[in-house]
Amino acid sequence: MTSVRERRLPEPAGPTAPVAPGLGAAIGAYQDAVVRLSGLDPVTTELVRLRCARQHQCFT
Amino acid sequence: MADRVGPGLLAPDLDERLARFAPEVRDVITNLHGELWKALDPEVLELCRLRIASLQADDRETARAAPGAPVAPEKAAAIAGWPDSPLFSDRERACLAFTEQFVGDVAGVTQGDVDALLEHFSPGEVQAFVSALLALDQHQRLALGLRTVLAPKEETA
Repeated sequence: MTSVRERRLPEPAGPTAPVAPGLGAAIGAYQDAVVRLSGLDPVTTELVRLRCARQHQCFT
Repeated sequence: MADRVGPGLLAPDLDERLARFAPEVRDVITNLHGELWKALDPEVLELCRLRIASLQADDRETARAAPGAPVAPEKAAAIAGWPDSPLFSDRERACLAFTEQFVGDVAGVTQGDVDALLEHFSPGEVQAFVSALLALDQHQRLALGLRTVLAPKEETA
C-alpha cells in the first residue's frame, strides 16, 4: 500500500538550527529502550508497535 | 544530556515503578523529561501538561509540583475552562487547542490545527512543541496505565 502524506510544516528557506536539539535524540533513546525490553516477546512487541502506528497514522 | 535529571521530572509513582521494573527505561525517560522543557516556553508547556491531566482526570498529575515552570494558581485552576477564560493569551490558546486535539484524537489533527500554531511559532518551534507534547502525553498515559494495572495487585501483595 502506498500513501502520499502532505507536508504540514513549510520547508525552511535555508539551514536552520534545531530548536530543541536534545529532544529528538532523547525521544529516540526512550523508544529504543522500550523496544529492547525483554518482558514481552519480540513478535507481540512488533504487533503492538504496528497497531500504535496505524492508530496514529504514522507512516514512517 | 538534560540539565535537570532527578526527582520531580516524573510522577512519583511512575518513577518508583520504572525503577523497579524497567530501570533502563526510567533513565532515558527521565532524561527525556529534562529535555522537553527546553522545547518551548516552559510555562506554555506546563499549561499543556495540566490540560492533559484534566482531560485524563488524573488528579495526581494535576496536584504534583510543576516539573517545568509553575504557572499562576488562577490559570492552573481555570485550565479546563480556558476557552471562556480571559486569563490565556492567543499563543497559549493555540497550544491548548492543539493539545486537546492531540490527546483526544491524534490522527485527527488537521492542517488547520498546525496552521494555528504557525501563527505564533516557527516551523522548528512547532516541531519541538509537538515532540514535547508527545512526551508529556505518553508520560501521563503510562503513569495512569501502570497505576490502574499494578496498584490493585500491589495493595494485596
